[in-house]
Amino acid sequence: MLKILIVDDSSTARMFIRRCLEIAGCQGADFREAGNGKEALDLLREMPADFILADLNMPVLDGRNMLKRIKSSPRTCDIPVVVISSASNPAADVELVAEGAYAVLSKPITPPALIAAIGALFKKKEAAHGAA
Amino acid sequence: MEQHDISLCLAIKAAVTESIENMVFMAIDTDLDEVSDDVGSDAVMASLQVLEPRPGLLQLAMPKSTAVEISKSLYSVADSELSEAMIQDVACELLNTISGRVMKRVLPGECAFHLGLPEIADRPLETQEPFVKCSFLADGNLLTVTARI
Repeated sequence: MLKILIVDDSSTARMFIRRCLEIAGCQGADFREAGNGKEALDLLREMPADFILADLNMPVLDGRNMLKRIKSSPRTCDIPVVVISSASNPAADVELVAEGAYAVLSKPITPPALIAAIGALFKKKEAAHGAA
Repeated sequence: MEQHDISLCLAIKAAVTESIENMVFMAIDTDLDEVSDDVGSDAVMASLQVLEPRPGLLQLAMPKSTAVEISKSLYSVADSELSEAMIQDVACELLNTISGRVMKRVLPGECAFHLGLPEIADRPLETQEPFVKCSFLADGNLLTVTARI
């Protein structure tokens, strides 16, 4: 079963991202939720994730600093992190990808946008789980 | 209305239409010449500061009835299952999404911007200059966005 961590300080945004993921083909996934980057790092210490979708603009620990910490740890550096932002632009997106983001999506996300950006990742992770 | 205000109005209209239609699946009507933009005394209001490249402010305001309808549609729940916290969170997240889309439209090219966190507001913004106010109907439910960017 795919383990997906959704990180956003808005419960509405977390619910909406989860619904988009389900429509995009992740109905049976094990969804975990965190309200900021620090909560996400705490959850990752308890249980790994197959991939992470995280907001950029959050209190306590924002998406960019969470991404840096995830990518700097040997235990979590291979987890793909998709950044979802209301405040992204092409230059900022390039920076985030250089810092290790798998993809950067703009709010409001849609299932087709999710599939286009990370459909291949879904299939790869599902295949890995099927083979295990 | 100055050119900057016209551009800001167009950006707000496009951002609200995209955000509401994509997130809530409600049709947006932007031609409200004969409809009152009074959101009432029970309005749900959220504000968000623009921090960079220059200070600004956006506010979403809607009658409680609009906030309830949008929240019900987003969460796919009945009135009785909605909490005040859910309604307020919906207002903040909608404003957050709308604000990002507005900024992308009003700023040139790849200009970076930084937004604050959305917060529930307890009073409407003054709408004299230099604020721009746009009103909409979402499936017949009034909402307004006021901005100074």
